[in-house]
Amino acid sequence: MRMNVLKIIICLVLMASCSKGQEADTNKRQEKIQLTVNSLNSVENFEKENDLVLDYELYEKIEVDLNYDGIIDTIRLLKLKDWGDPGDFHKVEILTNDSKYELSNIDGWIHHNWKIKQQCCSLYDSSIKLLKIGKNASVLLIEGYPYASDPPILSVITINSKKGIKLIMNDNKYLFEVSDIDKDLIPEIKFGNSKDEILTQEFNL
Amino acid sequence: MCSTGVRCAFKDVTGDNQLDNQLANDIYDIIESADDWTEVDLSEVQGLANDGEFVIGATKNPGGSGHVVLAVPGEEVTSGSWKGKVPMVMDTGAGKRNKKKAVSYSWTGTDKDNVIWRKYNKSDNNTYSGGTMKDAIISSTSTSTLKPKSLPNNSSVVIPKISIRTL
Repeated sequence: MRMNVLKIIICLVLMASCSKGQEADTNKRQEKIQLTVNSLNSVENFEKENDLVLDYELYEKIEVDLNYDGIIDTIRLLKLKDWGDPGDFHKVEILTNDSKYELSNIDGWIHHNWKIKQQCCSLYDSSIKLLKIGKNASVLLIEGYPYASDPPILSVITINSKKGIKLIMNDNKYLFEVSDIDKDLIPEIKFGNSKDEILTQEFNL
Repeated sequence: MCSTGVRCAFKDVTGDNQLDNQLANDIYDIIESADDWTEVDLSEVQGLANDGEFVIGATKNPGGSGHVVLAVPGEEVTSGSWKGKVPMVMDTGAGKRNKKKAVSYSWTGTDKDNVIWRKYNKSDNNTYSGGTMKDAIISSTSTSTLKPKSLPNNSSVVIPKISIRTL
């Protein structure tokens, strides 16, 4: 009887260690995912193609220290005036003490309720989701309007005090979860085309 | 799913089951090639919907999900991204439960040339406010006047074409 109990305990310990090993392997694999940066239908291109000049109005202004240099930075979300088509805002401006970055999208991003599972790193949560990454960077997540039967555009911008501001992902994906899976203070996002196809990516800055 | 909304509406209104169990890409294939469907131009869509015609807009996505919408009665609105007037549609696609919204909320302006519009033309129906009534063939052994029994007095419903065949 005791031998049987001992065997069962040994089996359980072995199974647990195997699954931990698998998890570690999975995390390693996850870091190799290549993020896709599709080009946006920018407002500037639309204006050029149609010989138009479109006006903006302020949708939301966010003031927060994005690169942890002790100076408050600004994010401005701008909406096309009298547009009538989808999108709560169509331009994102990021102003830090040493950089200015602009990104526009004629198809629009939307104010999102972000009903996602989040376990870490929130810096700001409104129309956009802003996450803290390590000691000197932030990441900005914004979601587009869902056209046709496609997932909405998920745009991811990183703001790093050393490497500046850049768009690292722009792809039709659902965002499912934000969490620091490997507890290294750098969050991972889980995203994909559907709940049956979830990818995980750490922000390797 | 977008196809569910269009399928249900199609069966309810026409009684035809040709779209049963079909997904958006399948519906695209059916309406693009079947004889029951006639190609219509974007500029005609709103007028046809207002006349009670059943008009579907569809795109095909071979690598994924296509998309379908149903034109509904209403007034066209101007869309910046579609660069002109656009019709009202019902769209029950992912993230959308639009009973009546401009089609520019269904596809981007860059997709507009990929959308096909088709009108269902199988029956020569008249319309009433609740949808489309089918033609009826009534047979009689006499030449006495026929009066529909199911319609209430003072009904405002437009009676469909009734073919009377004397036996």
